[in-house]
Amino acid sequence: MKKLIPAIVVAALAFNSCTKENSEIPEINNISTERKALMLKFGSTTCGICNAHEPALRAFYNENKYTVIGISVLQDVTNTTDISWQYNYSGIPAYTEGTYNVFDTTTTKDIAISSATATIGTKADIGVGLKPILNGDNVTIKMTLAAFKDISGTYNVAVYAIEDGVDVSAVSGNPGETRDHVYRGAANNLVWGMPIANMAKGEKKDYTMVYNLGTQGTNYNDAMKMRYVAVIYKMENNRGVEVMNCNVAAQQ
Amino acid sequence: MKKTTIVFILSGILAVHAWAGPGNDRTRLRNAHSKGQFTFGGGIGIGGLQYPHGNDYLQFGEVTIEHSKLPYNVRADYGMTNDISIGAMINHFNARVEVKDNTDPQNKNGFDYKSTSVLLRASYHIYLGRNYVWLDPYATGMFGYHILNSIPFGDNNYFEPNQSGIAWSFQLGLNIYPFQNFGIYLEGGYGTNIANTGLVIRF
Repeated sequence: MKKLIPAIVVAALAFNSCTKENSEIPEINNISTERKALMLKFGSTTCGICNAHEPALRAFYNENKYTVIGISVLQDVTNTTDISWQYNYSGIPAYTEGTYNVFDTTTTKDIAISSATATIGTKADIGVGLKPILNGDNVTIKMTLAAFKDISGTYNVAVYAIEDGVDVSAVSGNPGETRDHVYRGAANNLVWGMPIANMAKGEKKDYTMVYNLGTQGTNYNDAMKMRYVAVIYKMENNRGVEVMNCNVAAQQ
Repeated sequence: MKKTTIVFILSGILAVHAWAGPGNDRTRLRNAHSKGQFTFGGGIGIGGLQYPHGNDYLQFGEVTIEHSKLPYNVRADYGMTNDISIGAMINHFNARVEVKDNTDPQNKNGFDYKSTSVLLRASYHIYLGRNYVWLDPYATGMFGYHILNSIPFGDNNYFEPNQSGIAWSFQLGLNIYPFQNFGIYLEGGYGTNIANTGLVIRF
C-alpha cells in the first residue's frame, strides 16, 4: 500500500493545470477578430516619388505587422479587366486605404496611412481566415468567414496574389534592391471577388477560390514567395466601396 | 487523454482488488469503511479537463486553458453497506480560457470562468483485510451539474462563452486513517477534477 499512495499522487500531478487546446486543430486557424486595414499602393520602380515614399510605407507595414497589406501595381490602365482600371487610379504614385476611391496626388501617402490607422482601431463585423494549397500551377485558397454580427447586404470576398522579395535592381539600377507586395493577379480572375451569402452572428461559412500561376501570374518569380490576401468588400454598383476586413496567408 | 485515464483507473481498481485477494478475512471490527458510517471531507484539487473548453475557438488562434486557482471541494458520504457509500460533493474552481490570434499575438480574447459543481457520488469500497483497516481504497463515480459564470476580456471578443451543464467524474481514491476518526484522502481520475486531496473525518 505504501507504494500505491505515491503512485496515485504522481499520476494525478502528471496532468498539468495549464493546458493547450489542440485536440482538433482545424485546417484554417487564422481567422482574426481584429479589423485589419488594406492599403494598396500604385507605383513603379522607375518612379522617383514612388521610391521616395517607399521607406515610410515599409516602416508603416513593419510597425503594424500583419495589420496592413500593401499591393504595388504597374498595370495597364486602359484594360478594363485590370486591377488598376478597376480601382480607378489615373497616375502614380497613388494610394488607397482599401476602396476604389484612390488618392492620387504626390502627398496622399500620408492620407492613406492616416486612414489605415483609423481603420485598424475600429471593430470588425466579419473576419476571414485562409489557407493556400499549392498543387502544380494552381493554388487553391480555402477560406472560412466568421460573422461577428448579422451580415446582410451585398458583400464579396476576393483573393489577391502578391509576391515578396522581388528583385528590381535591373530596373532601378540599384544592386540588391527588392520590392514586396508586388501584385500578380486575382483568384478566379475576379478583382472584386465573388458574392457571399448573408450570415447570422456567430455563423461561419467556407469558400474556395483558385489562383492559376501559369495563366495569371505570368511574371511571378517564386511560388514559395507568394502571399495571398483575402479581402471582404461591401459592394455597390459592382465595385468595392468599403473593405470590411482582410487577412493574409503565405504559401507553405 | 480520456482513454489513458480510463485505463489508469481500471488498472488501479484491478490491482487493488488483486492485492486485497479473495481470501481475506472480511470480519470487521472498525474497518476503514462500514455500513452506517458518515464521512465528511474537504480539500483541494487539480483542475478539471471537461470544462471550460476552447474547441470552438481553434479557428481563431491558439487556445490555452489555465486554472488560476486550485479547485476546492467539500463532500459527505454515507455507508449504505460495507462496500458501498453514497454522498455528494461541491467543487469550485476558477479558470481562464484565452485565445491568442495567430495573426497578431497581441490580440488576446477570452473568458474568466468561475465554476461551481454539485455532484452526487456513489463509491465502491475495497476491503483490504484485517491488517489494513486504516486504509480505505475506493472507486467513485459522480454525476451532477456545473454552473459556469463567465467574464469576457479582450478588445475583440466576439466569442460565445461556455454554458453551464452536466458534470461527471470518475475517481480512484484512498482514505487513510492514522487516527480512529480522522484522516486524509487522495483521489485521482478524470472529470470535474483530475486529482483531489484533503482531510476526512468519520462517525
